[in-house]
Amino acid sequence: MANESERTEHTTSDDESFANLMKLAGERPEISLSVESRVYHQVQQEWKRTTVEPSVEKVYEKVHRTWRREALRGRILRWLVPAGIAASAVIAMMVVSQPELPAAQVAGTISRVVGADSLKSEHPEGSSVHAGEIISTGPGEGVSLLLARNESLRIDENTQLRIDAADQFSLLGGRIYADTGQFVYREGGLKIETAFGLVTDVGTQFSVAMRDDTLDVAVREGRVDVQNDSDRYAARMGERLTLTAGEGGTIAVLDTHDDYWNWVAELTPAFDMTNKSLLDFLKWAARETGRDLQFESDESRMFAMRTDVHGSVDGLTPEEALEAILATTSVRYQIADDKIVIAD
Amino acid sequence: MKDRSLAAKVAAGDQVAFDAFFKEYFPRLFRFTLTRVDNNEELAEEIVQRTMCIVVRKMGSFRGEALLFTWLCQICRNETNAVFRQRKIEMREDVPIEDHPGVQAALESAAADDGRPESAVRREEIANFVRVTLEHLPSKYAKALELKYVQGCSVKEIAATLNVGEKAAESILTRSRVAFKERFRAIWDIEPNFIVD
Repeated sequence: MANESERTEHTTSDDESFANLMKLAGERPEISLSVESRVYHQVQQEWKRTTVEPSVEKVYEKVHRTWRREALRGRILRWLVPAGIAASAVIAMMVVSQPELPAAQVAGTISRVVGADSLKSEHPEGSSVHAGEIISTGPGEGVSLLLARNESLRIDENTQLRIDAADQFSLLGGRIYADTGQFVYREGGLKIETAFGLVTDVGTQFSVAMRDDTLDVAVREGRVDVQNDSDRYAARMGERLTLTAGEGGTIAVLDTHDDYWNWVAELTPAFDMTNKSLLDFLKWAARETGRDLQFESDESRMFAMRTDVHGSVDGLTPEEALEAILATTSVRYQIADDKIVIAD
Repeated sequence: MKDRSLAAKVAAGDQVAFDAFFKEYFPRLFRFTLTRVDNNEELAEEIVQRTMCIVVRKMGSFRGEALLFTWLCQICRNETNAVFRQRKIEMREDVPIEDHPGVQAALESAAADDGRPESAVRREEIANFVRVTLEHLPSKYAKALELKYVQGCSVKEIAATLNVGEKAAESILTRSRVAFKERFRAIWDIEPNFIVD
């Protein structure tokens, strides 16, 4: 007990010393927004002038080479593994009667479910999904998955998606949307197997829809490839590639903020506000709505950078969240077709 | 984000990383510089801008041997000297004081508030020691200490300001105190409680 009391006294005295020291320093000086914005502007210009942006094409080719190697390895394994398994099975049957199955690989977690209670109880939010599972949605239903590497995969109504691995899926029918982030800073993308060929991305926002005899690949950011035995297609930001059985592919223009993407908003994973600035939030809202973010002045950008966001926007679409959050700040915003403009 | 990873991303042209870098380091570097230019904001702005422009040019060469902020401070010291030379401003010998041989004596005499003008000067120097040390901490730690000890906020208020739970706020405060003492010791080669006991 004596030791405990000594320790308490020591801690109190230590804390008082500490408090005195801090009080001596006083409050740290506020930095004016205009100073900060001027320095930001100059440093950013210098940074842009001296930084060589990664070449999108070079990064893409590098990623694609890796995939080709993996695909070749996969083809070899497709022949070797069954042969190996067959041989092992014969041996195993001779040794043990019931071989143990490996645990299924966790591919991600359910982040949002829209629709019937039966779907919600089958896939409760926060639960894991595993390789081998098939997720099916009916009319008016949707499921949002959070994959490893923080990638978002959203499953539209009337869709069947099989999870083959953490980064590999088979779209059996319906429509999905993926947001896999800034591809120049990633090692590889998702692979979506369809009846029309393999859809691969190098980090982007895109949707894949398969209905009857048509495959639709729409790209909101980055680039997506579709490859089958006979052809190879590529769709870039603002394009919609349509493959029709027996007719080949056509490419049409599709705005990144077109109504075509509206279904995605309802399945957007909630923005995590922990330690996030208003700027982080605005960038998220702009990305989720397929728009550029523009500031009318350096001061408004600095304000967004300095201001922390609090609370929750759970259950709101990105546009609703934008309205709710900005209503609590001194900045104004305007949505003008392809951009969100922030003003003082 | 770790310093090295942040530097690599900035050097690679990642705008998000650049903003994170600026947000974390500009205020700390600016306040660090203010303590060295008698709170002259115009001089501090010029020096910090020069420093950060050099740093973003050299970011690709940052290998993480020292903390990113330590590296920034080193360049900032050089730029401060350069600006002072260009403007023919005489360098003060008593502040900044990392290399001051009599730092310990200054701290001792400053601890006694005897009303003498030289003691007041020493107290201001110590206040600068503390401010400089605070800027060497991650901004969240410095903010937590300021809220608790200068503004007298409760843990609940600190939690709300830092946008974390109360337990997390307590944990941040504990880590902040430890980090402050470690940094103070490392920079000034003296125990922080020695100067106010």
